[in-house]
Amino acid sequence: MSLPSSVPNVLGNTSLDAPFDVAIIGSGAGGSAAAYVLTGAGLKVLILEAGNNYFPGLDNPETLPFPLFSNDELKFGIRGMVMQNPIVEPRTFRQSSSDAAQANPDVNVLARNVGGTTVHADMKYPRFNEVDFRLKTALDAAARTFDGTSFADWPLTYDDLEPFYVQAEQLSGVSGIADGAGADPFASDRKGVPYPLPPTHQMYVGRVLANGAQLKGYHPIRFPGATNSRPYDGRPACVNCGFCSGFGCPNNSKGSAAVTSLRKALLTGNCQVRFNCHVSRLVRGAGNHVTAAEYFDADGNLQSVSADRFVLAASAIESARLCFLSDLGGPGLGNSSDQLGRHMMFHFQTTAVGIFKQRLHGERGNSVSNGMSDFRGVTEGGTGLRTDFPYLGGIIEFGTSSEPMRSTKSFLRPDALAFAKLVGLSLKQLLIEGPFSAHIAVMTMQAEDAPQPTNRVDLDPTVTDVFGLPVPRLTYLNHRFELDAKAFYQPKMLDVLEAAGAQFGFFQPYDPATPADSRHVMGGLRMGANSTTSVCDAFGKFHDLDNLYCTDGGVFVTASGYNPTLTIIALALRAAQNIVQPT
Amino acid sequence: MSRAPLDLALTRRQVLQLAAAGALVAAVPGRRLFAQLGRAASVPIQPFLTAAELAIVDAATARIIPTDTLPGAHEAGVADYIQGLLSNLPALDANCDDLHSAADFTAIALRQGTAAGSGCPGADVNGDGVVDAADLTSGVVSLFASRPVFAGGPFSGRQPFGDFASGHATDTFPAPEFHNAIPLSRIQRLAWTVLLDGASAVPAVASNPLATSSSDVNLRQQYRDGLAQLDQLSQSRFQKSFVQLTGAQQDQIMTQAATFTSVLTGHTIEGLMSDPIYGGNRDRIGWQLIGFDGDSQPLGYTLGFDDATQEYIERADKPNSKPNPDEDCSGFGPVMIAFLTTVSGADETKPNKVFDSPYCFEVAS
Repeated sequence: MSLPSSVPNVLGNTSLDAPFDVAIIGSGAGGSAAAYVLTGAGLKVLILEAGNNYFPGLDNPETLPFPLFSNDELKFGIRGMVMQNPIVEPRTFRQSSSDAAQANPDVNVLARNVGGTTVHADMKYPRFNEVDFRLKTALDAAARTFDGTSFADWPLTYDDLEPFYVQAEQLSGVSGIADGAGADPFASDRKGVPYPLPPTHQMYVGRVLANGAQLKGYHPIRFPGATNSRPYDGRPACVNCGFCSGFGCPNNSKGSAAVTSLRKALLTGNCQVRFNCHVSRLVRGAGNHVTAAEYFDADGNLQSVSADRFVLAASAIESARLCFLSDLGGPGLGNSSDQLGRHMMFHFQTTAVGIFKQRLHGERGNSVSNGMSDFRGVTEGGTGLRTDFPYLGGIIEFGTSSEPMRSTKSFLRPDALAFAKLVGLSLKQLLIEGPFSAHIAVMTMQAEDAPQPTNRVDLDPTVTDVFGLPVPRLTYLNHRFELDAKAFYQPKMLDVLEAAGAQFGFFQPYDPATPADSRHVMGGLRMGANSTTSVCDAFGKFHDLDNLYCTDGGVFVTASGYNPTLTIIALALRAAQNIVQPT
Repeated sequence: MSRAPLDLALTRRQVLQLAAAGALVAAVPGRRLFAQLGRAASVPIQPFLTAAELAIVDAATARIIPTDTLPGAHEAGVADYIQGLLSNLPALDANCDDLHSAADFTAIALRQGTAAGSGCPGADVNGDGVVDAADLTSGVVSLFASRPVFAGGPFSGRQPFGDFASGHATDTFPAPEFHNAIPLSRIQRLAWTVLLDGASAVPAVASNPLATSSSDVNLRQQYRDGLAQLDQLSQSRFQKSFVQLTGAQQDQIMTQAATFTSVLTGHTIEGLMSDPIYGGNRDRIGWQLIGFDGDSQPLGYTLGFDDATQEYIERADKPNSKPNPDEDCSGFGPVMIAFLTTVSGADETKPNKVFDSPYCFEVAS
């Protein structure tokens, strides 16, 4: 073995070959965390990644080189370098099964590159609440029932997951504050374990909104996140360059899956990543065994690779889709329960916008340094449901605008209506005065999304991608569970903006005809103890198959109102540990 | 619901869409994705827009962001940005090392007189089947006329390194890397092809309405037709070519050609505000206009952490956690106030509000 790899489209140990001990589909948060555990235990692991690699030398044992990312809005926000591209890989969307689905350029599209969506996320890594894992029981006890929903308890508890939360935080380098001012009073018991790093630096806009929240009697927090507030694990401290949410990090201070778990896996010598390799099918052999993964390689040629075990970590929508693609004409791989693709959840975002007299310079800082959890709807410590705020909302991110091109362009969409007034000196004046750029503060509530069996992913009957494969079709409609919470918390969000000193405040409109803005994609491969009501077990293993696992957000049972990535990593670590050492 | 007349003719929905775009969700819509033809050098290397077309682009974009006492789209070189976007000139990779560098010219020089198929095909820059002196000339054209689809990284070389341990900027500047365009994957190249030349160029996307009937793709044809339309409308209405019209006349013509003007407006924003490596934003005119710093790496805005005071060390001129030192709280002009008042006025459906805003930049905590 010699690292780094000099073979095109391959990272890691190029001498490894099939059959692998484990083949993982996807190099994001869940896939890389699983690879970290498996390779550490000596298993030979192949990761197939559909996207490109922007970390040349990620497998260099001597040093971690700078990646190809930069403070360049065009190649990220406008040209989507790291994103799945709807021109060649579309998805379709509809609100109900009686509608015809339409191709839509943004059906909750996530990043597609080595490191997955953690590459361009701004790394908000809170834990879920203790009550989240037994939400069905808690809702029933409070006599809160909702027709058409499919709330269920998770097949594991917060205490089961807590040691893996600790490991996930250490692996990713989470900055935060566990006790005292700025700590989250609604977060669940950390059992005395501090965050690996102190909190990141506060942005001005974060302090302004935190002040408003404080004045209204709420509890603003320093947002926990996997961004280095100090040098950590061989990576430098964040310098708050401002190109964070939506951007790859130029100096590796962002604890993406690539530079944390995946790099560690690569350096064991037990890991090989083949990127620009798009998996098209899992091949089921005799009995309940998956024998091979078929994929289109970087040149578009169909290849096949065998392994003892397979792990789906392609993100919730793509993992469910791959199960359907692997059994065309049938019910779908692992779908004896008819639950595959169902109970899809996205955090239901409510976005309040404040325009301030002063410039808030959101282009400096790590995108979101502050927030509040008062509208989560849980009691302090996250062990019960609040009765004074009787709706499950979500954590609120105190954000702003750091992308002038995207802000301006969406202002001009969908057409150049009334051209003479929209453009010319009026437009120029708008850009110069910058009410929607330099002066904007944004509160985004990531509210809990009720699981519904009718909210689902399956295959579109007519549209195919550039590989000739049917694309995912999303059927999704919000429940009054979310809409009531939004209506309840909206005026309170406006109160915070007013207290913070905003001059104007308004809300992003809600349009059920378009897919949710959320990038938090959960469900579709829900875990549970009962094989007739769930797809995977408590360790992410498919009930129907001996050697197939899922370690992405697909296994989530409920959505919580906290950002999901840390929980994906913790579940993946636990699942992989169980492969290495079954309990 | 009563609605006051708008000074700027924007719908509430458009404004809120903009506001939504300011939201820092971990979100990047993949609405516009571009790729690059990479090493396949079989197309002739020449700019897409003719000189006459380029002049129309320059005149029209100058109406979208005009020049007054401050520079506009013309001074920022927006037309050059659009030429680079449409020209589809391959980033030169003559030695198949997936890099775009001076070594490519060496590779061409060493292979002169050989057949294209006898080595890296990228050395045959003009695609005539043989590697020769013409390819060196073409290579120079390619290098300087083409613009990256995805510029290289991590640093432009404009900002120095910081030293987090000492909390100071250093006087060491990183090597500029933006000109080293990032090679594209096969899938990204296919997407770029559809974007420029439409779905007919890539049969595999035929079932995808976003590739066959979206206004975001087939840009070259849209420009060829749209620019011709501007001139045609100008001739029939004013008996002059578009570039000969007065500004007010040009506005009338562009209002008539609303669809193409919309495409042009989007690209004008890109040409004004994208990094200068892409051909526009000349001398960072666009960034200065809107008060945007552009790239700050590797220095950034937080220079270090002071263990004695337990405070982060910030740049005095551009603080991270505090108001700008020159913040005068002057706020918005009367036109903008009227506009914002209208779009944030309360109505029956949304609890939007105009606040008294008792203070400007104080933060109690």
